[in-house]
Amino acid sequence: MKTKNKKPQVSIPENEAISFDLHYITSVQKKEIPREDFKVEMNRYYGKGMIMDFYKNNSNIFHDE
Amino acid sequence: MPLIFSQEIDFPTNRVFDWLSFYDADYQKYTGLNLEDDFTFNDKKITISLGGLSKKKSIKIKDKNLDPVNLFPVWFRRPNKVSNPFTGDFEYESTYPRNLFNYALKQRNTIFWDYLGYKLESNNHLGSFKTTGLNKPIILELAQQFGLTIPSTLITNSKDDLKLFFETNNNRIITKSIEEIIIDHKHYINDEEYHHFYQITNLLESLDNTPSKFAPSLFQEYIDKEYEIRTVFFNDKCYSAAVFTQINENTKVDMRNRMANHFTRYMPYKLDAKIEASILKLMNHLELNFGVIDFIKSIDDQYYFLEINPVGQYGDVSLYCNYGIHKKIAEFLIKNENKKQKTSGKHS
Repeated sequence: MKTKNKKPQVSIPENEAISFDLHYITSVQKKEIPREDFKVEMNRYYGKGMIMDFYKNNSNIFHDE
Repeated sequence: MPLIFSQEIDFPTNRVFDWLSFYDADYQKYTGLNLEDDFTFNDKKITISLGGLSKKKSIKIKDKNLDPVNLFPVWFRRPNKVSNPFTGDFEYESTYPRNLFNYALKQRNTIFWDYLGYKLESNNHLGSFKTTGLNKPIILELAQQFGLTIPSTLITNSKDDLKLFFETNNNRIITKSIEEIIIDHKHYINDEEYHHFYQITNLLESLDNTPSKFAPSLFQEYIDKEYEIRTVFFNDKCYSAAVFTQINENTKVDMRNRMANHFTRYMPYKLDAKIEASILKLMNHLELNFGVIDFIKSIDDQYYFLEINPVGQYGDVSLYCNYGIHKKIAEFLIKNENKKQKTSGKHS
């Protein structure tokens, strides 16, 4: 699920119902990678032989139309 | 033909699909609700019968054209029990509240879904329909019972007992979820930027400014690692990799905390025969024929069992160590289908 527009907030209250680890949720600001750039990047690894079978027709990750 | 329960974006599943295609093997997949999915149970007619004086049991599954479909063996890669496979969008006009109606639908469908999983699981299968997550403290206890060493562990909601544990463990402990980590979330600030929320294991070197009130939570001693070991248990065999997490600052506490494009070094690894025997006993006890198991190899030459993920990612171990696990899984599914057909004919 994605949310939008609201200012991001991680404010977990101290409460006997909330476990300790939930006070350590990590949030990192990132830039969306355009899909085309992502394909180029993946092709780079594909060229190095690190990812060998990303674009096979049967894979349902990328469909080259 | 094999039936595969998974998620739409699960890289290892797609690699197995590739190998099934390579072998010209048909398969059906259920990857949760989405429009592009070519398989949902809504396009199947399913009839299960049992009981009566004859006590005859049968399961019949037919496709859109009412042709029988053989859905064995089954790979419960990531069975998504949260999704509701039997309901679609429909207009609803009633004074009985929609949310209560939806609840009634979900409850009924869940019972049928669970029963179907139970039926499918009685045949040759890989993975588990009912076990997508394990109770971490129970698994730690069992691992110890079967001869594996586990880190010193505390489960408490007492700050005083936490302080004592902290001091006993050289003022360095870790906090991790007693259950699975939270589900990742993307919060978009604009069309291009987002905040990524996720959870990793955290090292605590001070208890100052930490909550004084909290629900029962899991803490473990911090172990100085030489490297981590990720073992893929599949079909009674262990495929292990040493993961050199200590080379990179980010992955020292939690190997998942790796930066994109900064690959962690993996090497094929053979665990001690005693440890492998303990893993086999533990997995047999849990009735699991697949799982991804994490260990720490400490700088003082001890092997610490951390956890089992029955639906864990194994693609990294397979690819970097050249184990070909995707291919082996595809071959397992094809072999078991043939075995089943030879011994008992059609199942539809």
